[in-house]
Amino acid sequence: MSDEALLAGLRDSGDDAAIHAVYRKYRDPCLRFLVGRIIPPEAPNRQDLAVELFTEALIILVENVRSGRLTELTARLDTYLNAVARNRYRKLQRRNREPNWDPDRLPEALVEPPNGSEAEEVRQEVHRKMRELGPRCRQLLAHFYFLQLDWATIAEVLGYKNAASAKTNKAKCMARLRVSYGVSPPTKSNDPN
Amino acid sequence: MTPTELPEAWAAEIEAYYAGELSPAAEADLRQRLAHHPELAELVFREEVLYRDGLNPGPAALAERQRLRQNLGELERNLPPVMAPAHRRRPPVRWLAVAAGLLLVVLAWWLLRPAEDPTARLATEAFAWLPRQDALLGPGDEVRDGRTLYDVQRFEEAYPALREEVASGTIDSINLLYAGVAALGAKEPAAARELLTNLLQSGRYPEDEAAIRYYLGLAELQLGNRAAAVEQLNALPDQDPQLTQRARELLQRLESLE
Repeated sequence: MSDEALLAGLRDSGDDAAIHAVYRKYRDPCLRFLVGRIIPPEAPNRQDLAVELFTEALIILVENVRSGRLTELTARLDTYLNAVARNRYRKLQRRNREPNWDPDRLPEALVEPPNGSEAEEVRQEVHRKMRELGPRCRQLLAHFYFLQLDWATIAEVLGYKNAASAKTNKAKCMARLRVSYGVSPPTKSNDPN
Repeated sequence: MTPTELPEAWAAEIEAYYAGELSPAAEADLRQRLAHHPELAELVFREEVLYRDGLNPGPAALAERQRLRQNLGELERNLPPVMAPAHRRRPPVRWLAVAAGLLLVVLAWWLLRPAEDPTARLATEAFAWLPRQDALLGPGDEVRDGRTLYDVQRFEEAYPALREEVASGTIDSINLLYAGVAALGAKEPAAARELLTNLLQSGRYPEDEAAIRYYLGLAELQLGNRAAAVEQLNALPDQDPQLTQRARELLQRLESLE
């Protein structure tokens, strides 16, 4: 089955058959990539860790496809799965180095939230504003924040000249999102689209 | 400062905080500033929820993740384990001896090398390529001149090319900024200082003063002129949140060396 058909299955079907199809197709190459090139030989339980990383990468991919945040892939599915899994491994390493840092735990809020603020409403509003930014910004922000890819991979799959270019454009997109969301006034014209 | 606007530098710090990239000292400094500006609390809250809620999964997504983990775990249990790739063949003993010899040479050089100035090391660590504002995007661009050499970070070639192109009038003198950055990237801090000092003193590009002063500060640091570097970094106008943040962190690290 082609990547396009697998992606359409993930997007359109509510059941898990499409996810199982992707899992079965890409499990072996992705695990070989992780065990052979990412996880060092001396690491304990490499096979289990590779399965965990691959599973998390697939779940993140599915979540973004199903939510509509990721409408098209500009590289092969296994490129995404490998890159997301590799980045998850890097974050695990950082967590081992810095025990106080946890990528899956939000840090303490800087200010007290006002009464009546609803996280889910905020989430929906931000996603709506992201969609309004246009395809280029939407892709860039989704690849960085939701797929949690590194800048070199983002530059490669989205066709930016290099990681620095992708990062600069993401900053412009975030500036536009802030304006759209009402945090910043509309002072500058930053349009990477 | 008005309650309708959150300073860009603060927004950059909040983003760095949620990315786990703000040092504890910088976080404490940010919290202290926020405490002194309660009129900005609403804006800070809105900025925060972008990261806390907007760009993070909600409870429903987390529950679905957990369900999928269990579901895929059951699928995994019915699949055969993947064989790890075979280990590479062991290299011949002769090559191991050559490698050991090289290692000894490198080790001797490392032990006998002159001690590096810690401030110069800080300057090297704080150096980052400054993207050109009108840089073209796209993988198809060809390297043609000093500017495109700079864009692909070939600093040793970019710095003399940019300087010559400005001198011949082919390109505008603002490109001396990128020539200065390239000179720093090419480990030519004296040339960088000369280029950036001339540019700063010309007064022609006030909108780029922050970048000019930041890289001039790095050049001074690489040359061991700590006081001059601190002067430049302290004089940085609040034009670019990333540079402001980097300068602040560099000043803090310099202070910690004292």
